[in-house]
Amino acid sequence: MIFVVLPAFNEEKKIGRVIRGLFEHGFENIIVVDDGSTDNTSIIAKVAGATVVSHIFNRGQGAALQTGNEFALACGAQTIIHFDADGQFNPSDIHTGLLRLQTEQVDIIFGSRFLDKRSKIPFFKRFFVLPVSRLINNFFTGLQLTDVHNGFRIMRSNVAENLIITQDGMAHNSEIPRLIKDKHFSYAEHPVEVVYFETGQGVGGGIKILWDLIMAKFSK
Amino acid sequence: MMAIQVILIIFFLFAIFKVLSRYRNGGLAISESALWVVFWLLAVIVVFSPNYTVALAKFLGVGRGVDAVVYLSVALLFFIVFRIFVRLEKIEHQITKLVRQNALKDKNKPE
Repeated sequence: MIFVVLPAFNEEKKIGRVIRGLFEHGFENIIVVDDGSTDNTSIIAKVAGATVVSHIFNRGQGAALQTGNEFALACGAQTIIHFDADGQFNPSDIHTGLLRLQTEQVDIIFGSRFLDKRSKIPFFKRFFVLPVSRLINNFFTGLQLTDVHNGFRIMRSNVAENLIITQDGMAHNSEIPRLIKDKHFSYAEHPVEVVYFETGQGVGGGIKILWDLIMAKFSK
Repeated sequence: MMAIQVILIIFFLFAIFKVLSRYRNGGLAISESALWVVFWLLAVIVVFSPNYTVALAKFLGVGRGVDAVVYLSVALLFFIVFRIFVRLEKIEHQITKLVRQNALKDKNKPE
């Protein structure tokens, strides 16, 4: 069974369309982890036909993904897909990703917006924010990925079982590759389309991630 | 006595009063309360007659007594901030665990 996990925080405007898009592409098991939204995310997701798991407080995207993984595993998921709830991704990339998971026999697929030319990445992001993040990320994870902090992942259940995400905030995007490396899972990068609405996390968000990663090293 | 000495001593006595009232309410264990009272009493002594710190400064190889106290205080402050930080991280993780448990409770299958 294939499960799609959508972590969502105040996404009432976009989540309905994302869920419908996934259904149209034949994905039936959709889990929305409502991460303490204060808007109607949860209701809209339910109406659209997704199963909703709700955090009573906002705990961050990493925490929501871990909750989604645990719920999907409890439902008997064999493959778990992480997908953004804001409509940045293209559901058709899941089909090609699943195909590669099968043919190349890897444990996890990481989405990358740099492997083809579909994503129109804003100039400042492409030439400053992302290269700097990539450098920092490769240093912390030891995994050489072309894209960092891409929320598109396809993983087998054995990966989800062994991957305990402890970074509640956005630093889980660095934590996951590190865990993949530490536990010697095989991986592949897969081209995905990313549509930009607004600037996303920006530099401030990047600094927060770096801070979280350093602090995690201290508080162990 | 200089004005700063009076102000600091009043503040330290207030701090001791707070520790004792906390202890009486059961908010602070006896060992911790004793530690804090001793700490603030030492602070009172240092402020009341700063000459005591000269010996400490000499022992540490620092020029002036006040400097030695400031250096040690800053080091102690950083240590305490770090301790609080680690505790806070732990509490954050515990909250996440609780929120997750609450979310997954009664939810064993898709509806």
